[in-house]
Amino acid sequence: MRIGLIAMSGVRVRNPELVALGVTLPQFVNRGKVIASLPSLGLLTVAALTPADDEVAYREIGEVDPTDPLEDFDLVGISSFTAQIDEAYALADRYRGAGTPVVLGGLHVSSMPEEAAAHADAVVLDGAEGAWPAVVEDARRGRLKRYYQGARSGVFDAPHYRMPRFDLLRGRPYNRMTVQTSRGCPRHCEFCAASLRITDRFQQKPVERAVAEIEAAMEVIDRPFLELADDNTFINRKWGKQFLRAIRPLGLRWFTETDIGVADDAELLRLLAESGCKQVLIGLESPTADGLRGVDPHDWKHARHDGYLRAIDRIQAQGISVNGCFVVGLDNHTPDVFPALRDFVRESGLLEVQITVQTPFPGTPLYARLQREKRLLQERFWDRCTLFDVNFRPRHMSVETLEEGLRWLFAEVYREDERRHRMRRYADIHAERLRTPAVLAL
Amino acid sequence: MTDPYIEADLRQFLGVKLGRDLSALPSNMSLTNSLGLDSLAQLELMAEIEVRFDVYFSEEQLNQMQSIRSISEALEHMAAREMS
Repeated sequence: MRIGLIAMSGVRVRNPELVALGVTLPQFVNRGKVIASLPSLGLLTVAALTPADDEVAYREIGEVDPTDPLEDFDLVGISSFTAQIDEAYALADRYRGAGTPVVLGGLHVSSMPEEAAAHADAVVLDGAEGAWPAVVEDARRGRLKRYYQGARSGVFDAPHYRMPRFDLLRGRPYNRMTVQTSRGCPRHCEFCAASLRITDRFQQKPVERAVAEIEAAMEVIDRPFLELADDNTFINRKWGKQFLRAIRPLGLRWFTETDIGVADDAELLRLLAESGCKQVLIGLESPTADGLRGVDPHDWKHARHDGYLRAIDRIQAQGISVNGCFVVGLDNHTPDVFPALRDFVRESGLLEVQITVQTPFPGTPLYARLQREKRLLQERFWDRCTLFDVNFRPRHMSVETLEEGLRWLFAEVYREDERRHRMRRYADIHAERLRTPAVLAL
Repeated sequence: MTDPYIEADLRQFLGVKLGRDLSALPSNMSLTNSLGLDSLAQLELMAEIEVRFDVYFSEEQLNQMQSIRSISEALEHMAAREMS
């Protein structure tokens, strides 16, 4: 069979004023460009799970022109996030209308399987491992079932594990690469719509498999900047240190997401720096401690808030920049959160800042709670699940205040002089580090 | 026209830091575009230049200087100011 795997990608904003701001704000635009320039690791994994006799073609949605005739496939697989799901459905409908069976998967589909099934011949839930081989065989016989359940555990071990098909990206203009070393996160933040939703518990890829994947990716893309596709890479510190020692010889520049707890471990920070980690994205969520109450079931982030500034200093002093990610509109946020966040960013020395609005992705505890509390603005708002559009009634402010506050924050935090100040401050940290005797001796 | 010694010194320093031969790189070309540096790498490089040449760039200079020429000119200007 000839199987087409189509990845939906890109960061989109619906709010026209934010769109206008985004055109002129370098860091937001830069992050959007970065996300949009990563290949779909999920579909590269699907390709790896496809029998060798079948031909697989990987396509980004940007390569599919709605005015051109459809590329000819025997089976099409589409994976999408929530914000692009309607485009995914439209493409699926087009292919099905032309007689090509379509399989849908991804995080949104796993949360809304019945909705997705209306646009597909088959739906894969919770990841392709444990499901895709059966999908292909059933498609070959013309007997696709409605639903296929992917494995929610053991995805990094036999019999489910396969190395993603990085070779399908050969010749494509990516300068960044993604590898996953874990699935899930034990913090269980209420709003999180990441891989923890499709796994029963935290799963860790063996170090040697993670390193082999990185090496395979480096054979395809020259000097890639590596982004780990993890919810939280360093939950397991022992694993983390083994991994960092193993990748140190590879000469990488890389990025990952983790939590503020990494700052507690001096050895981990040193190994992070030595391995070439240049940035960690950390979900700080709120500039105020009160805003963090109830974000996770054990108030873990709330307990860490007092140490945020010191932790950022410790991490950045090692030559690892911090991209601090904040969520405005949390239930304990009042309109004071906007100037408080602006001031926190100034005081913190964070090199990069990501500001998002609380977003009730389907399948999350946040979505379920806001639905119960009748605070969702619409029944269906998937194209507005962009992290920058407001989809619910905040507790301590109006929708308009939250939208205006977000616009104000974007304009304040991403202003050219603020951005330059952050750069100057980080350069100071980096220069100071270079002047220390241990570094001078290198 | 920049001081050839300053520019040569800078080229050699950047070549060692980046592990590349920059002798043929046009001096007015953007380091980011021509060498594929990301913005963080560019910022770190500027900090390394500050340490190596014992200078301190303003916020505007840090953001605007993209080429060997612009950096060399700034270094030359700072050196001249120190001597005067």
